Amino acid sequence: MSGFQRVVSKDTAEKFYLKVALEFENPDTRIDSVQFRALVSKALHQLYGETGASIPVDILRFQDDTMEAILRVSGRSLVKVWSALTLLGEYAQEECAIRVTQVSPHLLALAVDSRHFFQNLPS
Amino acid sequence: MVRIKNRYFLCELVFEDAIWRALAVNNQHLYNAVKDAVRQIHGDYGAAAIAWGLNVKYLNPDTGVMMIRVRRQNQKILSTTLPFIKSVASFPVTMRTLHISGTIRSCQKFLVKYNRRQLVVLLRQCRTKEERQKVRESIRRCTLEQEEEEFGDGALEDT
Repeated sequence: MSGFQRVVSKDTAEKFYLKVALEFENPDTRIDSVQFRALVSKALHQLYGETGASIPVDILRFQDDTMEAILRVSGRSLVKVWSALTLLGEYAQEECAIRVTQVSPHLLALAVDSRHFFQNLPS
Repeated sequence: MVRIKNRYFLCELVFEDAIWRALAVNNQHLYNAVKDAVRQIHGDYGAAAIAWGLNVKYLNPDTGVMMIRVRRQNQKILSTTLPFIKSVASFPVTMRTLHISGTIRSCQKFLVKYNRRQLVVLLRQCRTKEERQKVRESIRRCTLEQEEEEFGDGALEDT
């Protein structure tokens, strides 16, 4: 195993990848990927109006069981998407929160999470 | 201390029917129309950003020209919203941004010039001799009294 490689990007990155986790106050609530897309769109529309709703956000993956998702946004709209997700408090009359766990200009960086590093180590 | 910088937007309200002008326009109606449009286009963020310092400074019900003040850092929010305003007090309307400037004074200067140019347009639209005579008269007067003019609507008062 070659260990970690450090990658430094000097310019503004074209795309950013966000790993987000969705939490509902009622832990039994579940939503699917289509509803999650609507939720992201609603969050953007709420905070930034129609200009915000027109920001392209790609959902690369949505895991139904953990309700974790990986989003791809362009670098110029990262801050808007991030803030809109953070300020979302309610979806379909259910109180919810979105935790942005990781943000990176490289998708590969989301594969490794130092928070779960020790858990994933092979014994 | 740095002074608060403002931007003044000079806009023209174009109504489908000119009669609605006098009925519809009111500073409060315009303020609400602008605020609602900003909320729709730029959401909570835009509405909150623009709320501080938004003001309808001047309104001429005869010509449908108005002036809105915003803080300079938020001028983009307002300038992108103005074309999306579709109605004021439930009267369908379109907005034309005539001029943007940093002081009321320069807005006024522009308005005087603009109104003078509009008189020439009016002259072309005249049908009867009487009308033509009236417009000619006001053009003559506003060109002669150039030095004394201080107020933007002074040039158009007699039309």
